Amino acid sequence: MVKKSLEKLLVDGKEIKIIATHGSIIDEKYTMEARKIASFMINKLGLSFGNVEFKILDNEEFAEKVALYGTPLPSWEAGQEKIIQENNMKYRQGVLYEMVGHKFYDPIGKEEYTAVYINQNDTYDEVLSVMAHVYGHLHIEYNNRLAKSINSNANKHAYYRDRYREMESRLDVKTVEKMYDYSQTLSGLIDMFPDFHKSKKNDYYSKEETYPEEDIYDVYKFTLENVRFNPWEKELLEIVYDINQLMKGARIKIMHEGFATFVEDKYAEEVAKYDIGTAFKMRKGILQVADVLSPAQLPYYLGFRLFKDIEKRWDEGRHGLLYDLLSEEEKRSYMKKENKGLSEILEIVKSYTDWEFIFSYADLNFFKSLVKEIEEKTNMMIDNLYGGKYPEYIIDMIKAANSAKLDPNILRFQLLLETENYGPMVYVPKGSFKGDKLTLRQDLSFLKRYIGKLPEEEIESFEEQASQMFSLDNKYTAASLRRLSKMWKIPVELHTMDIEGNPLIIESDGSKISKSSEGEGPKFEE
Amino acid sequence: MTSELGDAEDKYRRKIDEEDDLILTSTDIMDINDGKTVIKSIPVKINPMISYNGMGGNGEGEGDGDGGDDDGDSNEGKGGNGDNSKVKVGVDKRRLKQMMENWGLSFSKPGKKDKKLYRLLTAENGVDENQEKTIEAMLDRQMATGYFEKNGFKVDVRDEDMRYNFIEEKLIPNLSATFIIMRDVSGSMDTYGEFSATIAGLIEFWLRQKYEDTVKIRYLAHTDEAFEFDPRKKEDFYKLVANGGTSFEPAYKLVMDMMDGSAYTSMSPYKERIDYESEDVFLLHITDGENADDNGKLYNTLKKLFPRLTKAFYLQVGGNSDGFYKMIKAVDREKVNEVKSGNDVSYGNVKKVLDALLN
Repeated sequence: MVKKSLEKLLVDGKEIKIIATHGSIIDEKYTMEARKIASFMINKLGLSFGNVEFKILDNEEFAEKVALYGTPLPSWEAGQEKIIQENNMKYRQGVLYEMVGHKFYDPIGKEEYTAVYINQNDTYDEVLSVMAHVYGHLHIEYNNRLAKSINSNANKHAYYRDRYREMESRLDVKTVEKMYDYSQTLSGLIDMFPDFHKSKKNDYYSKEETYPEEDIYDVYKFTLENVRFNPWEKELLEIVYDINQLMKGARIKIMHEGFATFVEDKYAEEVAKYDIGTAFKMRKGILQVADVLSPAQLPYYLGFRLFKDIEKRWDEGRHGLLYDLLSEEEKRSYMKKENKGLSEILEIVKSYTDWEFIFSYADLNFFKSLVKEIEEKTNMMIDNLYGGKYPEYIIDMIKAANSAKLDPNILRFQLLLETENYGPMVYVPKGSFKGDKLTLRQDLSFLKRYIGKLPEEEIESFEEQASQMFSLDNKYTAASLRRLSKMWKIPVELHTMDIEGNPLIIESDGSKISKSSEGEGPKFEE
Repeated sequence: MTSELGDAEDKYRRKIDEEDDLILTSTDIMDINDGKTVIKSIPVKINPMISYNGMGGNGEGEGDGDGGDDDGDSNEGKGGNGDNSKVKVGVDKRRLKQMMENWGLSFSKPGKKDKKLYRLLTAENGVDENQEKTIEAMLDRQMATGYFEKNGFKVDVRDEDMRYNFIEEKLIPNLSATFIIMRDVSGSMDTYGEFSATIAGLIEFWLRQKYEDTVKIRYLAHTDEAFEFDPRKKEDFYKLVANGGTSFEPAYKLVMDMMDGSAYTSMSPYKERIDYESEDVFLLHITDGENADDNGKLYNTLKKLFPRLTKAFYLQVGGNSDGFYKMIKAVDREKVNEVKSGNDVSYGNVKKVLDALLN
């Protein structure tokens, strides 16, 4: 029994329930701890979230949940994901400590819960740390505008699974699998940035008949609307479309992980008041995750650092127009106790995406210190690797070779570019579809935004790099076009560029791939 | 708890063996086993998507924040080549076959025995108790249930804490091999010394690159008598000065002796029997092909020796007589790669010889 002496957890005047379960049994110890931490989060930091169920799982169950999160259908892809995850956990590589699952509806209590999975192999201290971390994720899930719009639900997924199994039993596994694979190829063409494209609707009085009436960025949906599929094919495609809405969550990844780590750090500070040993372990765990410079850890590293920076700036009043007008000398000695750090962060988390977050809050000073840190870290790594093995002048040479002279300004734009570009942006141009051929065109208009702000001597090399990186001329694209053409049953052509930046059209009629250098190439202007 | 994934894992295994238009790669997981790093490769299939060149086919942009260097390709590179110091163990038969073919080991012996790997694990029931793990489990339980906070440290072992040793046995294909380099250093090889040393050296270098620890190289030299050379002084082996008569029979007889474990002349302190039953044995013979001795006796020795070899390579440098060249082909056409070559240490010629020998 959970002790009644604990105060009720109230969020916006409504009581919330938090339980930790081990199989079908409620784990009292962890439930108590989870409630204690939640109470700190809600009352001291002002977070808000709904009912939570912490499920403590062993490796195999955990791997299955991870696989089901991204691929809820019982397909071969889910099996593959499970096997990879299970092996990762078995050999303790890339270990997942926790995962926030989808919301689910509890029919007995008639309430909605969020499932949170915790690995059984975590130590006791790790579990506490992880719980604090998870509340940060939950706050974003319940409050962020974009996260709320995604709306994934475990009950819905269970229904999808049933439908998928029924399809498999009525038809046969291979037929369903083929369609499933095709839908996965299409899922790369879901529009992740519907709010970015300026819609230019047809003039109301125009008598011109064009189809589509505007540039269509959601090619998946366009396919669903314009190709005649069998009913079961259409249903499967719709299911995968709905599931893949999850991908939009990538747009708040840095904020998600950064905020969760920030909150975890806050809790470690609280713990330090009465149990310095545990707090030290927690701090160490945080640094292990958030202090590592690698592409995979970037969201933790950057998000955590940036939130810390914001907290400091807003606590000390170092922001705003008036502050910016001060001279460097005055800025250094400036101090105005405002203590607005936390409330500012909660505001950011509510409505921003990564791009807006970095664009408006990461200033040049932040990136200057980041560049310095990166340099120090690389040098330390080189010392660890080669120190003692080679004479010092050689180590200095290695350091000099590795220190790419980073411009803070360019680093900033690289990051912004990454947060608004998770894969090729492809669209069906306005008025291009006449029924005999599907035309796709690559959109690179976002590049213009960055080129304009680069120093002049950099522009040329940037453009050269861009055409090497952003060209779509590869085997993956060719295979995708072949599949698209089979699905549409008409030829499909893609306007892109080759690695030298010249216009290129790749066309497929379902079996052959042909290329020609005509056409306009990708779109650069907005 | 019923599994929500159902038979998805079986579907995956079937998918890997199927021929379709998906892209096959693999993901590697490292494990420390017997003091060696063993890499477990899991085959992975990917649905193609329209993707950028710079990002290695990943759907999500996984760029790095620390500037201009491209990280995209390094992930892919790991799959195929791997670090040479590590042993690779495939989990999938098909993948294993693919790897063997890449390593040029596709012609390994059919009856070769698998190697056994043992690993000590702990289990919750068994015979052989592991006290350390038992105490650990007891502490874990005490921590988790709050017993520790109340009572402090107390030895209180319950049934559920008991841990036992459990030995896992894993069969991995035996990839080890022996390579015998046999050089003719008789008087007639005088002019071809440099060429024969170059070829033998290059082949040894290639073997070390490809197989590293898994291949044992034995050095043999012969005039009208044969002896094994000390592998620690292999530089001298390549500098041997040609003199004396030529006879092949003692050399091949020596190889037989090495396999049988009987006594033979050797300048090496190590006399290890070649275990031809459980590993691949390759033989390279470099000579000018002029055998001065009885051909009938030689033919009999070859007849006995060849069934024990996985593959023989025969390189004839210069020379006038075709006798032995024809004879070695007649013994076993399948098992021998033979080349005749001029005495030209140019890049083009050496490459041609190596290509023909090792195809």
